Amino acid sequence: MIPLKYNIGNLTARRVSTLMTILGIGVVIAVMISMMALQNGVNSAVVSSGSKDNLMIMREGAAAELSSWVTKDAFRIIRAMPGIATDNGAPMISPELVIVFKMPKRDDPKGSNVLVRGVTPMAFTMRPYVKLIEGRMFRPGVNEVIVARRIRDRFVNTAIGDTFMFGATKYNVVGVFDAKATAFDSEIWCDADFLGQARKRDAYSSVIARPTDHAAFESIKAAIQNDNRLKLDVKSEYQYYADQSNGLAGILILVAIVTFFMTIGAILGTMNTMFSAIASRGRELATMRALGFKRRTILLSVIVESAFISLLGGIAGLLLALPVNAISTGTTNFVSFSEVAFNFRVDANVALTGILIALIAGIVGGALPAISAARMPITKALREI
Amino acid sequence: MKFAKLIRRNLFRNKLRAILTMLLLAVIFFFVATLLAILENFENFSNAGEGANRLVVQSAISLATLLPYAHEQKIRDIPGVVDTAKLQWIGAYYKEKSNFFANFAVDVNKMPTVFDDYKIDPKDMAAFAADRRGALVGKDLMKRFGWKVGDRVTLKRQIFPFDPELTIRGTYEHPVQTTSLFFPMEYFEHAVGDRSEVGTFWVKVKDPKQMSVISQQIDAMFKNSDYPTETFTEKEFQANFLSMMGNVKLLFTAVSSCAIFMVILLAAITMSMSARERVTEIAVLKAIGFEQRLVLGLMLTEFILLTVIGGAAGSYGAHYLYSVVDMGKVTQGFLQNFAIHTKTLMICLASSAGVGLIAGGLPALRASNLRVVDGLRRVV
Repeated sequence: MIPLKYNIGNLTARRVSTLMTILGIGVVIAVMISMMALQNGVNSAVVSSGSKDNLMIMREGAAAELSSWVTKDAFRIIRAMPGIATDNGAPMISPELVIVFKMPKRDDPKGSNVLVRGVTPMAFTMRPYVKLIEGRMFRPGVNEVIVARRIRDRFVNTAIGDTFMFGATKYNVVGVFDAKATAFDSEIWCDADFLGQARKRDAYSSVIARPTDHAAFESIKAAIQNDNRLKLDVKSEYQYYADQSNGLAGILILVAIVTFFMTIGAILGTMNTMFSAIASRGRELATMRALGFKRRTILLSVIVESAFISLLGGIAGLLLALPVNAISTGTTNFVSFSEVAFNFRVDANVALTGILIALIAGIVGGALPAISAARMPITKALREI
Repeated sequence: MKFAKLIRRNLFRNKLRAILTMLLLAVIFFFVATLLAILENFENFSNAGEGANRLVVQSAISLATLLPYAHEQKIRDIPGVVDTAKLQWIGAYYKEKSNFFANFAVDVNKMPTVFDDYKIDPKDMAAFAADRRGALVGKDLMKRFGWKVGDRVTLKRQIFPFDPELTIRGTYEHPVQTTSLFFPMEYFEHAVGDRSEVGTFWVKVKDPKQMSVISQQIDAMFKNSDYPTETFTEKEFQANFLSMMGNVKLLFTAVSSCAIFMVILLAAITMSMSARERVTEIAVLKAIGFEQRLVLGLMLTEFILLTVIGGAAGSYGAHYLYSVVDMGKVTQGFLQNFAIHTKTLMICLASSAGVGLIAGGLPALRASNLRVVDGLRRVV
C-alpha cells in the first residue's frame, strides 16, 4: 500500500489544478444538492402534509378540494355516523371550504393563486401543528383572515393590518400562522361561514374526519361510499396530499435531468484531471513499479487520490449549496391549481447523497486513469521525457 | 490556412485528453441546449395567440372562479369587439392521469369568428357543429394518442362531475397550438346542470391597437359587481401559467451558468497541462522566427476548436436526438413540439467558443510569452 501521504503530496504539488478540480466538482455537486433540496422542499410541502389518521371526504372524481363540493346535508349525515372520535365531547370532523385567490407576489405582480381555506375551530384541533405565531386568531363570522408565514413573506398586502379586496368583500389580515412546512404553509385561513357568504357558496369543499380507530376508519369509508345519496369519495388525508404531487411532475422531471447530466459531468471531469495528473508523472509511477510496487497498489493509489479529490469537491459543493437553504420560493401545483410555497431544504439525506455521488464520480472517473497508470510499460515510461 | 495541419496535430497530440475534454463539453452543452430549449418551448407556448387579436376575460378572483353568462352580452356590445366565445377548461384526462392534455368546452358556432387562426377543414367543422358530443382535436394530440377521426373516446373527470364521452369529428391545424381538444359547450352545460357560469370569455377584437383600451373597458365595467373580471391579451394569459410555475427562467439560467462555469474550470486544467507540455516546442517555433502573436493565435485557435467541436457535438447531438425521439411522448405531454432551434444552437456554439477562449486564454498567453532561452532550458 502506498501511503496516503504520497497522494496528498501529489495534490499539493499541483496546487492550482487541484483547487480548480475541487471547485469544478464542487460547482457540479452544489447544483445537484440544490436541485435535490428543491425537490425535498416541494415534497415536504406537499406529500408530508396529511395525516394517515384523518379521512378526507370529497366529491366523487374530484382531484382537488378546489373542484370538490360536499353539501351541508351530506356533512350532517357524515357527522352522525358512528365511529368518529371526539375531543372534549365535540366530534372530530372539520368541514372546510376552499377557494383560490389570485394575489400579486412581491417579485411578480402577475401573481399566483393562493388557496384560501374556510375552517371551524375543529380544523386547528385536528391539525395541532398549525400554530398562530403572530397577531391573533380570526373571529367567527367576520372578514378576518390569518396568513401562513410563507405567504406573508412572498405576497404583497398580506402582513398583519393589511387588507385586500376580492369581489365586493374586504379581507383584514389579523394573524400569521406556521404549519411546520406542510401544504397549509401555503394557505390563508378564515372562518368557513364567512367565506361561504362572501363567495356565495353554500356547500363545503371537503370534510375531514378522525375515526376512533382503524376499524372505524374502514367502516366510515364503506358507509360513505355505499351511500348513493352522497356521491362522495373517501381517502386518507395523507393519500390525498400524496396524489397531489402529480401536479408537480414538471419540477421532478427537471431535477432528474439535472442530476443525470451533472453526474456524467462530474465523472468526465475527474477522469480528465486524473488522466492529466498521471500523464505528468509517468516516470514517477514507472519508478515506483521498478522499485517493486505492484500494479494493484498503483491502481488503488490512483483511485484513492481521485476519490479524495472528489470527496473534497463534494464537501466544497455542500458548502457552496448551504446558502440555498435560506431561499424560500414557490411554484404552482397544477392539480390543486394553487401556490406551493417551499424552502430549499438541504437535510442530512440530501447532503450525504451529494457527497456520495461525488465520491462515486471520483471512483468511476478515476478507474480508467488508474488502469492505464497500472498498465504502463515500465521501460517505456522510464525512457519518456 | 497553411497552419491547419499544425493545429490539427496539436489538437490531437494527446488523443485521450482531447477526446475526454470534447466529451465533457459535449455532455454539458447537450444539457445546456436542452435547458435553453425547454425555456424557449415554454415561451413559445405563450406565443400561441400572437397576432390573433384576442383578449381573454377571466374572473379577477382567480381562474378557478367562474363568471356569469350575463357578462358576455355586455362585452359583445363594446364597440370594436367582433365576437366573443365562452371557453371552459375541463381538465379531464385520457385513460391515465399522466395522459394530461388541454381540453375545453367551447361555443362551437363561434369558432370560425373568434378562433379564425385555427385551420379547420369546412367538412370537419360542419361535422363537429352537427354533433352535440363531437370533438375537434389538434393534429399533434391525434398523433400522441393515435386517434383517428370517427373514434369514440371517453375522458376521465378531474374537475367537473362528468366523464365526457366524445366522438372525434375533425382535426385542426395551428402554427403553435396543436395539442388541444374542444367539445361543445352545450354538452358541458347539460352535464353540470345548466349552471350558466363559465371560466373564460374569449374576445375577438377588430383593431389590434384597441386591445388595451377594450381590455380596460371590460374590467371597469364589472369592477364593482360580484364577479369582477381581469382581462388579458392571449399572450399575457398564457404567460400567466408560466409565471405560476415560479421563476423557471432564473432557475434554468442559474443551472446553465453553473454548468458552463464548471466546464471552464475543468477545461482550463486540460489546457494548461497541454500548454505546459510544449514549452520547448514553442521556444523552438519562436527561435525559427514564429512571432509571439502568431504562436498565441495558433494555440488559442486550437483551444477554441477543441471546445467548439465538443460544444457542437453536444448541441447538434441534442438537436438530432429530439428530432428523432418524440419528447411529447417521453415527457407525457409536458414538452410538446420540442426541438432545438437555430438560435439555441448558435448560443451554444458561441458559449463553447467562449469557454475555449476563457479557459485557454491564460495558458496560451503564458506559453507564448515565455522567453526562448527559458523555454529551451526548461525540462518538462
